[in-house]
Parts: sequence; C-alpha cells; structure tokens
Amino acid sequence: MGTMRRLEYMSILRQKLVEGGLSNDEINDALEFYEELFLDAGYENEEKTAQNLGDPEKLAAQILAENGSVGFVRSEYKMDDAINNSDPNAQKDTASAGSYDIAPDNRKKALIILAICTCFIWFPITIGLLSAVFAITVAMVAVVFSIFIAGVSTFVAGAFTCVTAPPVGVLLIGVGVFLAGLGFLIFKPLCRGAIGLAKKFFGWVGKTVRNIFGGGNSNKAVSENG
Amino acid sequence: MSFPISAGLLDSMVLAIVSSEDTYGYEITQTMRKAVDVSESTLYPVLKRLQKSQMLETYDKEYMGRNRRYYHVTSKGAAQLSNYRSEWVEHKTKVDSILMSDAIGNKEKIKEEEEVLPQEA
Repeated sequence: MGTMRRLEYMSILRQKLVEGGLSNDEINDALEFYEELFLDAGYENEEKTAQNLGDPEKLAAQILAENGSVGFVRSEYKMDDAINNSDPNAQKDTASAGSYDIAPDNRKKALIILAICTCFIWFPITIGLLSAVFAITVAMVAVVFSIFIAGVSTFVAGAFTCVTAPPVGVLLIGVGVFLAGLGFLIFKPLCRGAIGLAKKFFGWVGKTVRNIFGGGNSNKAVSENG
Repeated sequence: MSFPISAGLLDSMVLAIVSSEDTYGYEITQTMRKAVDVSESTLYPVLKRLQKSQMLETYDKEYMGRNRRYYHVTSKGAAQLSNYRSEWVEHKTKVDSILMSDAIGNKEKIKEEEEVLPQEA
C-alpha cells in the first residue's frame, strides 16, 4: 500500500462502501469528501495523502460504522481507534486480528430488545430482591425502635418501683435510660443509612434507564487510549 | 499523546475553524493537524455529525474546474460554539487549578496562556 495513489485508493474505498451496503447518497458524499482531500493536497502528494488516510478498507469500515448501516463491524475499525493513530502500519497490525463486535447504535437497540425479551426472568427477581431489602430495612428500624420503647417503659416502671422497692427501682431506671439511649443512638444513623441507600438505588435506576433509552447526545470520549 | 481528544472537543475545534471563515475539507484537516494529532479520516465523521445536527451547512463552489465543498457555521452552530468556548474556559481553569497548583513561579505563564484563548466566549 506504500505506493497507492488517488485512483487506486478511491476505487478500493468505493468498492468497500458498496459492499457494506451504504446508500448511494452516503457513498457519493464520502467519496466526494475524500476525493477533494486528495485533489486539494495536490497531485504530487497523492501517496502521502493515501498514507495519512490509512488503509482504505479500514476507512470504509469506519464510515460504515459511523452510518450505522451495518450491524456488525470489526471493532478496531471504529472511531475510537482511528483517532490519534495516523500511522498506517500500526493500524494494519490490529486489523488482521479483528474480532467482530456490534456497532454502538445497534448495541443499544440490542440491549433494549434483550431487556424486554428477558423481562419475565428479571422482573420477578428484581421485585423479590427489592421487597427483601425493604423488609429487612423495615425490620431493623422496628427492632431499634422497640429497644427505644422498651427503654422508655422500663424507665417509667422503674420510677413507680422506686416507691415500693427503691434499689430495684433505681436499677430499672438505669436499665431504661441505657436502652432508650442505645435505641436513640442506633436509630438516627440507621435511618440516615436507609435513606441514603434508597437515594443511591433510585439514582442508579434512573441513570441506567437514561443510558439505555436516552439519546446519544452525550459527549462520549472518542479515545481512551491516546 | 497523554490526553485523548473527546468528540466534543473535536466538534468545538472544527466549529471554531469554520466560524472564522467559510472553508473546505482539506483546509480544516490541515488546521486541525497543526494542533492535535488526528487522522484526516477522523474529520469526515465530525463534519457529517455537525451537518446532521445543523451546526454546519455546506455549499459548493467551483475551483479549478471542479467543485469544492465549503462549510458554513449556522446560527445554531455559532451558539453552540460559544457554549463550547465558555465550557472550555471553565474546564481549563479547573484543571489548571490542580494541575498547575504548585507551579507558583509559573503563575504568569498560566495568565499568558489564558490570554491566548478565544476571547468571544
């Protein structure tokens, strides 16, 4: 490919785009753009331009992936790798070891379909898990609350017992204050923890739903490995 | 390079190039390559994306007996560019506040760099 010039490069690019099933409009648009780059770079720089653009097959696959017209593309051909990677030789190495992957747009669709198809499995499981967590939380709050109530009532009972048997009464008052204090101490962080957990959970659910169903207008990073 | 170029950064840089003057594909790629190490093949998708989102529009002009496609920033694109610019200034300031924090002797240098930034933001 070292000596490839404009005509050869463009004909390979066209052939690969046609094979990829891209619409005629899109093909012409892309070809015009790259033809223009060649012409503007100058006749004497055709080889250099071809080298800068990299392997035409790879470029074609990248254009196809961007248009989402094909479900399956080689993962190395995606945008993520094309950037910061103007060395054509480095690209060649990864291209031969290409594994097949689903284009991002289709991946999202596939995920939604998969989620819907398997809903009879995960829906009951999720509901079950959620109710279990909810039950445990409520039980814990109830236990702690009852410790507090037990403390208060022991304190009251102790106050009355003070009249009949003062030493026992003082003991009961002490136990009551201890229990009430214990319940009070545990109750607040427990509630805060439960509320925090619930917030986190619903936040996560919201984010996940948005990620799956939301539009692709977020600024995803083009390259992770620059 | 240690710092990857995000899609948003590519979009904003291309918008900035075209906003200063209507221009064509080759010139955009050459200007971009002066600043960042991107392949020429990366810019076609960027331009397509900006056209699809109506940030850029195109028209053809004859040049040496052939057509040359010129890109023009729409009012929507101009608004987006000014958003991008203020976001960038904010981002850069925050990063600098950590990255350059112990460079007390370099404070003037940072100031100089900030002045080089686009002023329209």
